[in-house]
Amino acid sequence: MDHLTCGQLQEMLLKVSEKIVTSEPLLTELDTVIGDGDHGFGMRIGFSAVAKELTGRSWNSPYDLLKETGMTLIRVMGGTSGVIFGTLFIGGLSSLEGKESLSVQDFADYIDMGTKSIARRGRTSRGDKTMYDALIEASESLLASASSGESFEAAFEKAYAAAKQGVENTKSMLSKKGRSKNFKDKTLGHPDTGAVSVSLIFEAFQETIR
Amino acid sequence: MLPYISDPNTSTRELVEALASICPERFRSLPDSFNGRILLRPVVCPDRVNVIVSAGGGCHPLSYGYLGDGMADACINGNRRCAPSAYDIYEAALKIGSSSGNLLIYNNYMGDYLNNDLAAELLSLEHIPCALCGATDDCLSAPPGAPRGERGGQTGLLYLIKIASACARAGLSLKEVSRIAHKANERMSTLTVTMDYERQLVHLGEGFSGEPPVSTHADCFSIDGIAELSFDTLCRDLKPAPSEKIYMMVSRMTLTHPEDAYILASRIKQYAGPLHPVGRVDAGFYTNLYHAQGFLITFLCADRELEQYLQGRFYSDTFSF
Repeated sequence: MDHLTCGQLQEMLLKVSEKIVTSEPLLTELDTVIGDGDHGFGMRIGFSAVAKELTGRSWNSPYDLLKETGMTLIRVMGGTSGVIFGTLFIGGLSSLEGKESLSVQDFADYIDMGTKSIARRGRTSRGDKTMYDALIEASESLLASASSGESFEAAFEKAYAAAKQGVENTKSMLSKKGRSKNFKDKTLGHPDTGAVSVSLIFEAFQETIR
Repeated sequence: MLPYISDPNTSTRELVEALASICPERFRSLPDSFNGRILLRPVVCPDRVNVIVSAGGGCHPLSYGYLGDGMADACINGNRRCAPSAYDIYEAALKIGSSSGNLLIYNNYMGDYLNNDLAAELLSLEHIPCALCGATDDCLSAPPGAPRGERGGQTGLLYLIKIASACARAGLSLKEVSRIAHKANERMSTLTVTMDYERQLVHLGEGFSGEPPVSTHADCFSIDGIAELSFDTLCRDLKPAPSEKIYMMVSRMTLTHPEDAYILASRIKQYAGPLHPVGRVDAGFYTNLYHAQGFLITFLCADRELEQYLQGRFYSDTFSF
C-alpha cells in the first residue's frame, strides 16, 4: 500500500486509542516506579476522548482528522503529557494542508515535523530518557523507508521495531527531564513511560496497516 | 501556602464564576468555554493588541488581580498548583478575536512555557498573530553567568503586563509591543528575601517550591540592612546605566506586615537616592507564592522609552501599581 486514505488513518487512530486505554495499568505501573504515577491515567483520559470524538464521524482531509486528534488531547489532558502528545499530532499539520491522502513520504514528513517540534518545545534531545528517545527512532525509520520507496506495511513494521529499540535504549539512561529526574540512579534499568506510550502508538499503526 | 476550604479540583473555575458574579464591572467569565477558567475585562478591544497573562492556579492575586484598565485584557489560571492550559489560552484569544494579535505573558516555568508556546502554535493554525514573553526576573534562580532564559519569573511579571498594556493601548503593532516587553524583561530583576526571626537571619534566593536559599546573612537583620543588601545585590545583577531610572516594587510575603513592606520600600528609595536616579516606588501584596516572612523586591531599569509606558496607575484589592 502506498497511500493512506482518511478512513484508514481514522482506523489507525482508533486503534491507537484502544491500545493506550487498555494499557493504562501497564503505563501506571511503569510510571509509579520512576515518576508520579499519573501518566497512564492522563493518557487514558486523552485517548478515551479521542475515541469518542472519532467514532462514527468522517473527515474530508487528514489535516482535519489529525488536528481534531491533537486538539482533543490538548483540551482534555493538561499537564506536560497533554502538551507533548498534543504536539506530536499538531506539530506537523502544516505539511498536510490540501492533501486528500498521504504517501509514505507525506506521513514520514508529518511525524518528522512533530518530532522536531517536541524537541524544540520540550528542550529535549536524544539521551534525556524521554518519549523523544523512542519517537526519534521511529521517525528516522519512517524517513528512511520513504527514501527507499517502501510500502506503508513495511514502513510501519520497521518504525514499530525502531520505537521498541528506543524504549530499550531508555533503560540504560539517567532521567534528565520531568519528575523522574528526581529519582536519579533509580531510573537505571527502567524504561521511560512516555517512550513506552510512543511504542504503543506505532504498534497500533503497524497492527492496523498490515 | 495557607490551607484552603474550597475544592482544589474546581476552585479555579469557581473563582472565575465568583469574580464575574460579584464584580461584573471588573470581570467577565466565559461560561461556554471548555474549562470555564478564562477571565476577561468586561469590554473586549479587538482592534488593538491584547495582553493575555497566565499562571498556575492558587497564586492569588496572580493573575486575576492583574486584569483591568492599564493591565491585562485576559487572564487564565490553571487548577490549583497546576500550570495554565494551552487550550484555555487559545480559547481566550479566539474569543477576543483581536485583528492585531495577542502578547502571551507568563512566568518562565516549564509548565507555563510549554502551554503558552503550544497555545501560540494553535493560534497560528487559526491565522491569529501571537507573540510570547516569559518573565525571567528571578535573579538567583540560575547560577551567576547562566543565560537569562534559565531564570524563573517572579513579580517582575507585573512590569511586563503594565508596559505591554500601555504599548497596546498606544496602538503599537504586536512586533513593537513584543520588542518593548522583551527589552523590559532584560532590564528587570527580582530578589527573594526571607527572614528567620528566631535566629535573626536573612536568606536570599529561597524558592517557593522548597528550594534552599542561595545565601544567608547574619549581619543585616533590620529594615536598613535588608534595604542595603537588596539594593546592592540587584544593582550588581542589573548594572544600571546612568541614563536609566530604577523603578522599584516591594511585595510582602503572606506572613509579613504591610507596614514593613511600605517602610522597606521607602528605605530602599532613601538608600538609592544618592547613588542612582529612582523612578516610581511601589509596595503591597502582589502574590501569595511564599507563605513566609519576607519580601520579593523587584527593580526595573527604565530608559526613556520604557519610562513612557510606566506612567499609568492601577489599583487592585491588594496593591497599587
